[in-house]
Amino acid sequence: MNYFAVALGGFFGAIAREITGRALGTSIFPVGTLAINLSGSFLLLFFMTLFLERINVSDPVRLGLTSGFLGAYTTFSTMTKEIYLLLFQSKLLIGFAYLFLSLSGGFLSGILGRALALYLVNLNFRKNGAKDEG
Amino acid sequence: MVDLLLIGLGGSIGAILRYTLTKKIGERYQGDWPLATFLINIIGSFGLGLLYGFKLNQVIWLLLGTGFFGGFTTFSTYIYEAIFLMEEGLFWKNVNYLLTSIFTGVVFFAAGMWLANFFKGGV
Repeated sequence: MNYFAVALGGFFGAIAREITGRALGTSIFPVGTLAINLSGSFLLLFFMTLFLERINVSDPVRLGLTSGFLGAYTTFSTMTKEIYLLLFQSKLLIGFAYLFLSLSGGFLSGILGRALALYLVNLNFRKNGAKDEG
Repeated sequence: MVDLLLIGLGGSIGAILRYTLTKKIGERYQGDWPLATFLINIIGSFGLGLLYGFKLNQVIWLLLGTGFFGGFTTFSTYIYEAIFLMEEGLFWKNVNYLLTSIFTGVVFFAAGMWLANFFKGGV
């Protein structure tokens, strides 16, 4: 069941990556992969934090969404390909800017996703706590 | 439409393989370094380089390149692991992991591409 969930998530994650990439079009700067990787990092940290804070979902749902969908939606190999091609075509500045934005942007997006999830969990905790006291 | 189905098929196989490898490596290796994702991203970059170098037809590229290697490698888990290394107080390991993965990945993509070109030229 877990394997099936990961496969199903991976199927739609890869397709979502392609559709997002096409929608954002092609230019010298790989905007598509950058937007995909940043949004995927935000969502993964958001959901993983919710699941770690004991928001209970079944294993297939959790794995299908995280390892399956978001794992396949974001990509590492396409990014290394784009960095290599930019550097090889002597577009050094664009290549290093892309590398830097991917890393710092991905990291920040992840932190934001995690912070939002923690905020929501905390909000919910306070609301329930207040209810118990009343 | 067929394009998207090919990509989805490759992506689902890539995701299963990544999930299985991560589980197997996690059972054997208990260190701080996110070894499974590191190896997956490096091997995937090498594979995509090979495929890119061989320049086969569009169907194979969509199925294996965009689909399989795109879905096998992952950026979101890589960021997730880096953030948790930092939260555990391992700041330099986090920076090291982020930079080493990307530089090794680019080198392995290039190696795959060169190897493919070597075979194409040599045979």
